[in-house]
Amino acid sequence: MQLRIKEYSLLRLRNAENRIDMKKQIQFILNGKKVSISAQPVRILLDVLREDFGLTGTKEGCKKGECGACTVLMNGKAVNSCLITTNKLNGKSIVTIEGLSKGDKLDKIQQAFIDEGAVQCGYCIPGMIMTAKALLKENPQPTKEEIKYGIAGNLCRCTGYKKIISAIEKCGKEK
Amino acid sequence: MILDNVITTKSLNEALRLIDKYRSKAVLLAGGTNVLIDVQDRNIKDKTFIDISEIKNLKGIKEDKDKLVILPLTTFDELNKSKPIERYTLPLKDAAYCMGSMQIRNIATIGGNIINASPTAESVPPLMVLDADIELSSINGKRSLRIQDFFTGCNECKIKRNEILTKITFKKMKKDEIGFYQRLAMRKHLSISKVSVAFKARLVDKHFQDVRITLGAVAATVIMAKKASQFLEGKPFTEKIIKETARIASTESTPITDIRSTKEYRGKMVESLLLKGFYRYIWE
Repeated sequence: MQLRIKEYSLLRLRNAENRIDMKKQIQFILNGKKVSISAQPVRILLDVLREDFGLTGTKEGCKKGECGACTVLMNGKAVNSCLITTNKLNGKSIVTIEGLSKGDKLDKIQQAFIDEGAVQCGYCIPGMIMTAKALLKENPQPTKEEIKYGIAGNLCRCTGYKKIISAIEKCGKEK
Repeated sequence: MILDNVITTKSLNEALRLIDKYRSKAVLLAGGTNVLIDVQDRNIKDKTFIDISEIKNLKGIKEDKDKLVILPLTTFDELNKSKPIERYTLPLKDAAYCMGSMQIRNIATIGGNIINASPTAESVPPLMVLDADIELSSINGKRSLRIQDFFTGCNECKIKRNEILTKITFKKMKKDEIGFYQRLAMRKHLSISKVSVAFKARLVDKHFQDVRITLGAVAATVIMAKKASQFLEGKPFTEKIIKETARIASTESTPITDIRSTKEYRGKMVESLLLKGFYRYIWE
């Protein structure tokens, strides 16, 4: 009995200090909807999106922040979801590639990528489009050089980038 | 990837108490762009991660008449877009522009970049030519160091186990001062530097004064190129002089051969990068 009381006291102290409450949830907005996930264990956003929510549009590439395939928007800014831990998500707004289209209506950027022939294997495209979305929000009419600077964190092995840059430039000119 | 023990705190005082308690088991987590990669690559376990990224009073850029103060959780995106940084810290502005990618700059912090203590750190060569002071805080109080005295080896610095970097301070560059940061890597962005250089000096009647030159990724730490700085001091801005300065700086580097480059190439590129900086940013 005494051992159990001691263990319980230590656990309460640890919980109070660490705020490890097994019932605690992290609440955030995902593609416009309020969602919650367990606060424990702390995982990376990329895994949560794909495994918990079935949003497999966001791709795993390098898992080191070097390829950009996992790019999502966090409070409107492009981030590598492989480097965002779930404890950081409280109150944040996350938008994935699935959140761009409205029903069957594609976002302008998605349509531009299709129209310009910027998609080959498609693996880099969700991340590339999310980066483009963030770029165009900050700089609605970027030059080619500014586009190249903006997408420097997104690798594509197929296209040589030319049509990707054209697609983003076209979106800028249409605004 | 799963992190077993993560404590998120919004209070600097609480963070200081926690890091004092956990000491060698504590790992501070801000942007996470170095830490999370280390967790994967080095299979780091049995640590307590103290996430300080939400501590508001460790974020921001403040200026007064003579000085700039950068708080450690300021991201590279914020540095890159900051008007005071652009106006008063030419080398640091250059470094913030080329660091990482948009995605990385949105979360990577200048404090994390410093404390990781890599000889390839983007912010360190500029902060050293700016002669920055850094403030380290613990539950026992605060202390300040010149950043040029802070690094002791590759990924090693003088921060104690129970300390947090809480401030970076330096004098604003004046109108008669010039400076730049140049780096060379496999990719224009994201790749770790093979070589980097930073420069700052006053230009008075076309003569250099108060010259400071630093070299990154060519020694165990970022180093001051003292001989090159001393050579250039008081000399006129001519092509012959800057070429000799760049040559001397190259002889002060002690690069190694590794997966990114050879020591011979790195030594040569110290010279080239300095000249590139001079030609692009200063030559009129």
